[in-house]
Amino acid sequence: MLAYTVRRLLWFVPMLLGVATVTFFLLYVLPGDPVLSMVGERYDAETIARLRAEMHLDDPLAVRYAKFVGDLARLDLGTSYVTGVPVWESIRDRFPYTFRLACAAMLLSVVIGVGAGVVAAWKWRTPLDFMLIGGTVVGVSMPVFWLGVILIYVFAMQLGVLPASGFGGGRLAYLVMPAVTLAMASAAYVARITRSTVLDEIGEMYIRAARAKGVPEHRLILRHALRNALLPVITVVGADFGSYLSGAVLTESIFAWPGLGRFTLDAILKRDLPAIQGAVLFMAVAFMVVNLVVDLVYARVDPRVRLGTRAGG
Amino acid sequence: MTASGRRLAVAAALLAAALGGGCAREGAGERVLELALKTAPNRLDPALAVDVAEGEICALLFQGLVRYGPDGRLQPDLARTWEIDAAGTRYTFHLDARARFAGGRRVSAADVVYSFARVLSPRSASPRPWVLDRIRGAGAFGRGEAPEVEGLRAADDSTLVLELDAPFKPFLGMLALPAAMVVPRDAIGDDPAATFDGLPVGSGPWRLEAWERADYLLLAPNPYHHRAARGLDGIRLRIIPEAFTRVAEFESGALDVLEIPNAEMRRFLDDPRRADMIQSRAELRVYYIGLNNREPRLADRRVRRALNMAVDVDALIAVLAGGEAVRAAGAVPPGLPGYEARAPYPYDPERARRLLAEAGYPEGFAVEIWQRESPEGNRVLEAVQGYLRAVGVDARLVRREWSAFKEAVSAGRVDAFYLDWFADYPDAENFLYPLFHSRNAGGGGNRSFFADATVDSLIDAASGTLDDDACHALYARIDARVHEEAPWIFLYFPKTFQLVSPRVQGYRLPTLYLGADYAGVTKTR
Repeated sequence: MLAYTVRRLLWFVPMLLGVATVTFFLLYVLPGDPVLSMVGERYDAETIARLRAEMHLDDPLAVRYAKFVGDLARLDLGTSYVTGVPVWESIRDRFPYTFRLACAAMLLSVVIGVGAGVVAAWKWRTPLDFMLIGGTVVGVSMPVFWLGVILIYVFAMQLGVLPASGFGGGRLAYLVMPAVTLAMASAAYVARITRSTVLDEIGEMYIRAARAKGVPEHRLILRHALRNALLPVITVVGADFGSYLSGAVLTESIFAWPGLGRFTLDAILKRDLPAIQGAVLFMAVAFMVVNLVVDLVYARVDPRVRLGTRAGG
Repeated sequence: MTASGRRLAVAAALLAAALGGGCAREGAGERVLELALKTAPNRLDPALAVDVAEGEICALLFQGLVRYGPDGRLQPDLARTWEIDAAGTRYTFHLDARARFAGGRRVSAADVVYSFARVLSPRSASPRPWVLDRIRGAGAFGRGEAPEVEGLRAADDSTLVLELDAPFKPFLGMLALPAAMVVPRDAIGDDPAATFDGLPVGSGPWRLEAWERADYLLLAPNPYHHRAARGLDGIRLRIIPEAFTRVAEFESGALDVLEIPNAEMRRFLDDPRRADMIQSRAELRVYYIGLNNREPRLADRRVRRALNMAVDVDALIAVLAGGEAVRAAGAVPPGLPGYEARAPYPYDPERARRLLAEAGYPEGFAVEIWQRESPEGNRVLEAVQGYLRAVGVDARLVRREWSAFKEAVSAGRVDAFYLDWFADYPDAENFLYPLFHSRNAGGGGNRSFFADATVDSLIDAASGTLDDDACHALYARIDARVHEEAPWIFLYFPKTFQLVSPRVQGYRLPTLYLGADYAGVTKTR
């Protein structure tokens, strides 16, 4: 497993270079001038020329690319054009907020999703199953901004039991609504997958054999069927967690949560090239790391999965 | 405990650490005024500040020689008194001996010279040297041809002398802008491209105590400032991008002041229980659809006037602005000297069609109207599109985000665009010169590329006129001429409404964004 992990980590380098290169050239062809975001509504040509020169925006493309890759090799993501703060520092400052929200959302998504899925499978074709499955349809199809607004309206404005927005210095109450909003779609999806895979497993021979031996139903489902149903759940939760780590723009905007999503959105709107590149690279790393962890977890959960060997080998 | 049980415990502990981390940060005390910002300020260095949020906060942390009060009138700030010579080119400022930076050091005339030179320097990172470029020798200094700014010197510790190339009436007011605010040299250093290393330090009535970039800023009274607030322990400015969330925060008591969003306007204004909480004022701001005057079809004045007659602006105001805006018949907003009420273009589609036919477009034509992404812009332009279609003009709406919009519009690559302009300083010159002088075509503000020799010469004449009445009469003439020439489709001057919590006393909605200092505000629990 160690050799496999090291090999995967080495692959990160060319992949990141690829992501960085594509981002660099995409930003180059996009319309919009970063200097114009810095100067306000009224500016003169000399000021623009001076700032462009200072930011090396007039250098030939090849020179800019070489400098960009050189800086990257030294792990220097550059300094934001707009805030003047090193990009790495901004990402480091924002990441704990994003990580906190991502963990809370993942926790909710797993607990609610797996719980509801198992109960639905257990109570297959009963009113409870229909209710839960109906609930997941609502959960999957509910737009994030709509759910966020409804939660704020009910719990902050009408009942006054939760704060409407902000980080609140880290108090748990401030985390509840953003986490629920972010987790809802994922939880509903996890519930549907858990239900269908558990149902598939229940039909397998080994379960029938165990049942014939008199193993109680709840034990059958929790210890045997669920364990084997976990693989697709891990895939879904892993992918969602990866995207949560890149920041959740809508949830963060509605709840004024100071995470990476808003950082990236602001950077894009202001054509803050170093910040966009830094954010994209960070997202890529987050996804790669999460994927690697998911693969490693696969092997732990399911002994049939062999890392780094050819199928049938 | 089994192995899997242990693993579960470790995972739970890690998750708990991730969720439970972070220490609660409380305000500076009980009486903290809770305000909201729509966008996070990027730079709190007056030389670098460009947007409203940055300007507002700079006006709390720093001082200029003069400042705007909540009523929009110019007041002494760092300068207690000043004299302007008869020619209107030599300004002598006597600094307030009480003025201290937040660290306790006295503010001297040398600090003013340092701060101005920093903005004008050829290596300056400041995007706004235009604020000070009328000082004699500013151009040569900015081009690196002179070691210092000729017309800028400290006569002694507390006397500053400024000389201009030519008299320029609005200059004194421009000295209240962020770019002309004073910073301590010892906190920044001699490199003109450098900025504060850490929290910014100024001599304003407030000092910055904490700055969590995307979350909030916490200000505390500057104990060295003679107008330091007594009724408040602090101001917390929370960054809340969504209008709905700001409303929810105000309704749940977590915000003390709320700017009412257009969509909620009627709900709040029609609620009798809120009547005592509402403050309003006409904004020094104009909304318009700029017509590219270089575009062959729109270069014809008859076409531009026809487009003005094709749109029922009164209906737009009634429906889209809740009836709470003033129809524009010129660019100078009511409330500024130089404003003159005049009859707007009538809504007359029949006449509009005749004018278009006269100009050679009996069948109309197609145009693109560009806009930056905004729900309000969408609503206005979709209505305008309908009105234009009725006179045969087929308007295609093009939406771009701000950066791409600004680049295309400033380069004159679009037919028409929806935009607004608001005052940096309360002077009609701040509307007429940037928006209509041919010298400012493009990025200078004149994005309709309007060029009219009469307007140019009248603007030049007005800016050198020292007599108030004569100057304002000229502004009114220029504005009338602009209206007649119709470089825009003139829309409206908006109004701002704020709700102020009953816990807050002494707060006044300022005329200009730079005008709030919260010195007389108190808050009860």
